[in-house]
Amino acid sequence: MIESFTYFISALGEFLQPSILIHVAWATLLGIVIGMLPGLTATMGVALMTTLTYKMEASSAIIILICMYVGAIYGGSRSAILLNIPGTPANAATALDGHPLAKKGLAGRAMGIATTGSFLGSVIGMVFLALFAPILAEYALEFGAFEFFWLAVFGIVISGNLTAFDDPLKGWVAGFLGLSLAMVGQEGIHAYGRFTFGTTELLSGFDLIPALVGAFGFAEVLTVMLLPRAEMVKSAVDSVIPKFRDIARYWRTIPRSGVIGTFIGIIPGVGEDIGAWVSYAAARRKSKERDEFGKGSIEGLMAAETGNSAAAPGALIPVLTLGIPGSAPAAVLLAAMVLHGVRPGPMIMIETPAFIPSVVAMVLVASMAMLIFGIAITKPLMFVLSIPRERLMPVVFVLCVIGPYAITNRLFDIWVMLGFGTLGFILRQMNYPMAPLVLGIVLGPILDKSFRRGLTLTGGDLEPFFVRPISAVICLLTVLTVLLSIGRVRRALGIAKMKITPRRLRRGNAKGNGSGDEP
Amino acid sequence: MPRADFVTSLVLIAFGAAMLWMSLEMPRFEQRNINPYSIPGIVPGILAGVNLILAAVLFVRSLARGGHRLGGEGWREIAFGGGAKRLGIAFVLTVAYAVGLVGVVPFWLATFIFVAAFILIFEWPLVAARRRWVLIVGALVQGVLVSAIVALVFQELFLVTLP
Repeated sequence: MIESFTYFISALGEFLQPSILIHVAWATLLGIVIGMLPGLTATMGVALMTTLTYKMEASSAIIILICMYVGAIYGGSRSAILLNIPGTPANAATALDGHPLAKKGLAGRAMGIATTGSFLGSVIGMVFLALFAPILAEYALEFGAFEFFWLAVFGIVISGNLTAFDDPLKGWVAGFLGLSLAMVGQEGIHAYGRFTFGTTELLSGFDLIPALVGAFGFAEVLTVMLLPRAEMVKSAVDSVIPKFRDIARYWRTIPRSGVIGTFIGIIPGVGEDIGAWVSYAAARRKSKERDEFGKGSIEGLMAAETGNSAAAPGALIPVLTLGIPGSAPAAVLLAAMVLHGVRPGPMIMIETPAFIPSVVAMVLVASMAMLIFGIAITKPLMFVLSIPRERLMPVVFVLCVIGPYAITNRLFDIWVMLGFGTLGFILRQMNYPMAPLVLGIVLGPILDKSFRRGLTLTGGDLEPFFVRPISAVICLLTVLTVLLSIGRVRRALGIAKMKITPRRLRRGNAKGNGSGDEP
Repeated sequence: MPRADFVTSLVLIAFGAAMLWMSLEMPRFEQRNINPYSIPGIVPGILAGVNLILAAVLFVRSLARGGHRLGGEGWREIAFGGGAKRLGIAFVLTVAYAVGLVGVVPFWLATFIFVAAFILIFEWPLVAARRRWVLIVGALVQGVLVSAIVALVFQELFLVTLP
């Protein structure tokens, strides 16, 4: 622990050098702008920046990407408040209370709350990253092929379940589609080219960056062009300086939302958007002013922004310790770290013990920059939102074309981007979530290699997949997640619970619930 | 949505079946004497099976909700509504740029043509006839600026090779 703290302090000292601070400043500001602009998401921003920083030194490149990530998740709150359009999917819950506040002439106060919530959320997530990541990395050393197989299956199932809460079936379809698409190209054991149809381009499979730029960039361009024009709130903006009484009044909401956001971020493929929604729902359930939620509640806005910003460092925890992304932008960060020669995974604390503390320091520096820009620059950022989509979208698409091409210099990757963009757009129109699809592409090779290695080790015996302690727990969690999302099973459990519980106790519970929280 | 689910389930069943067949056709490398549990088709085959199960559930559910009764006014609105027209134009322009122009003509020229055309086509109906020269000049200027800035920033500053 002391050693990690020393690494953290030394990394912080390194990042406070002017040359790095300049990178921090422009990357965070660009992140905020990208987050603000509907059509440019955090995933797209980090993917694009990965291509730009490809030739930079690893530590400079990764700090730029983290600043972009933290900035973009925060930046989306501006468009959610002023336009009622979440700049990134993570800010959808922010729009519910942020926009009504702006319509009441309190846009500045709403932006101040969003800034404070985002900063504190990032800091809470950062603390958990610092405390949990080394412990999880040590624990993950015991993971073998069997555990990684179940982790991949569980990741897809839980991500499908939570990102398509109303209809988990669609989440699973998206997830397994992602896993299937990951099967294209040379497999990792015998180097046999699967589903290549005789083409050399498909031998290397679908790269993550073109797929992500397509699903989150091109699909977003098409979505923005499909929807009607948005009107910006034109009322004069009041002060954006956060008020201490707002923070003091809802002091419980911030740590609660921060913890929820972080833990949602840790779950594979379940990122900032769900972090915000779950924090928002928890705040509403516990609030004394729950009738105000959706009409301009300060507490709701604070919960949403704290939750989504805490999920960003949370999503880095499985990236660093297991090599499994906690969210879509984190998937790009994972790819970027591999490009720069870092090997995230259980061995990280042994091979590069200074890396996790260094990432913690990067998150802190990025959060500070976000806070400063959030308070200091309001008017120029509002100008960005007034750019008409007809002028902005062609520029976004030009970036979508350059991004995938820049790393491999293959025109084929531009076609992959187009293919994934079209597929992503169609699937999104039919309410299929994108996060499980992306996670599937990342987890596909892990699932494939782990399953075949496991079977080879045991000579075809499946038993170790179910009896090794960690495997058994993850397998059980996977089965429970599937069963509990089936309506009939849930109803049957409800009836069984009613039968088991003595009538006297049920009456007592009903009375308790009657005076309880649900509206 | 049940109708969309019905069509999607049919597509997914076809996808799953094709994937399963191709997985079964993959080589088993018996002559190389490899471990039979490490053959390349094993995981794709299982995934194809899961895809088929999920597609079948979606199919049955969409049937129960009346998704098989295709046709009706809904389709016409989706295909010819205002949003769909914008979407169609945007799709044609973006694909024409990415496939037809990039890699065929120099990147700066492709980008200039695309950006200017995109702005002109979408803003033309929104601008009064006597103000259209402003639109044309604006679109051309933005086209020049975007292609110049992109080429400069990416190629010179970040040393990225452009198509």
